[in-house]
Amino acid sequence: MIRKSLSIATLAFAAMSPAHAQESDDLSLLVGIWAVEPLTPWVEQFTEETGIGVEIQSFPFRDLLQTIEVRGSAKADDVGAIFVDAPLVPSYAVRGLIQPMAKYLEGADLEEIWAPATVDAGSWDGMMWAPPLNNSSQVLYYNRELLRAAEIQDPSSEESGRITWEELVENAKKITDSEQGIWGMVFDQISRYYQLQALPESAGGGSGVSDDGLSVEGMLTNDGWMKATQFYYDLFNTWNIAPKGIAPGQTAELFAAGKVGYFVGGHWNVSAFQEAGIDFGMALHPYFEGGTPVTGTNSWHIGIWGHTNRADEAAQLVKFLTASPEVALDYTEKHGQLPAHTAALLNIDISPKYNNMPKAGMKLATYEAANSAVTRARTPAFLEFEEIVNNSFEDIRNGGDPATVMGEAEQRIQSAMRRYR
Amino acid sequence: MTGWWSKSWPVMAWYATVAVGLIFTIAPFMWAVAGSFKDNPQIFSEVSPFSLMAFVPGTDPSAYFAIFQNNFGRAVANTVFVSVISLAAGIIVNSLAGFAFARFAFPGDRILFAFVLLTFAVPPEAIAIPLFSMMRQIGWFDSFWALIIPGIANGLVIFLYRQFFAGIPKELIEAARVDGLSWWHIYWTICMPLAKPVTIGAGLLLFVFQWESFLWPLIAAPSPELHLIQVALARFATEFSVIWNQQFAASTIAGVLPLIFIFLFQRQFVSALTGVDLK
Repeated sequence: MIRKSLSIATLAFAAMSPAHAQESDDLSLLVGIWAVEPLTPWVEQFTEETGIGVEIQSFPFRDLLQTIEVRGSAKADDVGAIFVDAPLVPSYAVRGLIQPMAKYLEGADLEEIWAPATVDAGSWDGMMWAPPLNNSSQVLYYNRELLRAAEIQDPSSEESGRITWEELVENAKKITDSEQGIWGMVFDQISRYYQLQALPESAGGGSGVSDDGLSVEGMLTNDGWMKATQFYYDLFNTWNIAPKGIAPGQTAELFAAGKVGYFVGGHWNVSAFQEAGIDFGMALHPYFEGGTPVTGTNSWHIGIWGHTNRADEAAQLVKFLTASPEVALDYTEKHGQLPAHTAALLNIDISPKYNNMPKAGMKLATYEAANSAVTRARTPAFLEFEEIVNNSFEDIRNGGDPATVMGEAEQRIQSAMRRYR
Repeated sequence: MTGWWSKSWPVMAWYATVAVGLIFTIAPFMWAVAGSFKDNPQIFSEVSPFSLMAFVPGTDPSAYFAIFQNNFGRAVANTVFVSVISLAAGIIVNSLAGFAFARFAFPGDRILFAFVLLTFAVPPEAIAIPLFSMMRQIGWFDSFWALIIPGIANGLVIFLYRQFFAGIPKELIEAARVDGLSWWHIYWTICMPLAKPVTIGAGLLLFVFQWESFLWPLIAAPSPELHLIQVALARFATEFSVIWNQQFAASTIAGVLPLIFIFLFQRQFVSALTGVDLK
């Protein structure tokens, strides 16, 4: 009986065990699952041109970060290049998870190749570590039908008429109908620093981290942050114009279902909202009266894996995927993300394709990226910082006192930053 | 009437409590099953404001077709394969270890058994990095070996077998030895048939452990042809959003198979874990 079972198991192993993984000489490229389709043809072309084989390994967003951490801790040398979330560039650089790209880009005018803000995002300690693949931006969506029913004017997509948070709140109060499950407003990336950084920045509170990236003392409890977090508290607990108990990833579905008046979110939602058949418009991102217009930005970069012993080949791949205008144009077209490459940005500006929806939304996003975007806090402790700040926003949304919550967050982050000082 | 009520109200109250608990337990699963037959905006329009329609399945099966076009069938087959092999190998390895701990005295046996018990307390995440390095060194990274071998030895299962085997009367074993049976025969022909309820409980534990594992398969076997079901489930999220109806459809499938096993062997499973009704 046992012998028979073992024989079956052995046969099954023989049939199903892949031998390729260990024998392959391909350079591994760790990417997000969303990038596989648009990047695969270009990776194949890279192999054709250079003779360097590339194996794409793809992961969902959070799992990609986790995989990078595990492989980094194990000092795995079988990876060539990795996707790097822009705010993690300092963290990865300090911890040796990526190698500098500077020597492979010597003599190049980086700001001619990529938008200046994305060059900053990919740099740390005065040099380029991970060139940008694409960028992101935030805009204001509105449900025309709900606004009309509440006799509210459409918000403006012109700078002179940019709506303030104060105006938006007053309008949202008129739209909210809790019996019908209609909400005045909602954020796309609810309770996430990526999107909510715009609030304290607009109120003059800064990014939350000191210039050297190693302290938050007094930075999360200053007047700007207090104004912003009190505003966030009021949205859910005083004015009751935004829903609790709903996670990022679900808020866009709520807007698509016609249940939300204003949706502050990424430009990437346009196609989904069109498919849902909702009558919506797009406008410039709100700001605090007397403050400055600020929007979240940055996206994915590509870096040479810190433990690879094939850095030169990996650098060729990174350059090919990030600095080629052809790749940038095609990636923008297929993936629908805001480009970082200047050639693709210029194309959005001049191509008639971008005059009509859904692509017209990209023009508004490009404007915000160029005029109101601020990079996320630059700190090697970004992973710890982001997790604590995200949880704090969520606590405030659930009724926590903003001053207490942010005070505690400041202490915890300050303590977490010790290891980087 | 008063007499009936005074006798029955504790039972009724207990049933009511259980019913409420049951609703809270089942409602998310029912919502997911119902949502797997709807499009994404409909799923969320029925929860804001909340409507009981959220629990009524839609009529659109397209999410189920879509997931199988996205390699989900392969992930299901892989998971069945890995779980079944782990179950078979795990029962043999762990029962032999339990038998050894129960029947043989050797230097350091208590310390060794204490180490086995300690493994209960070590979360898989804690050993993921050294295990990952080991898999790469021995050439098992990105293969079924990496998925199966680390899941075979299980401290809880060894403990269950050891406790059961230790409870078998010594006289029975000694009589078998006097009759000339080898230790292997005693283990295989006397102890294992007696341990059927433990084997069923242990089998379920080993099966569900592999069925539910996520982090280890994610890092140990990244190739799409080796994806297991939980890894495949996570892939129904795009960069900024989740394809809810597809994720619900995949979750429904992922939940149904272990449920069938648990319903079929519920009594033995509970007995194995509580030690009740084994003798």
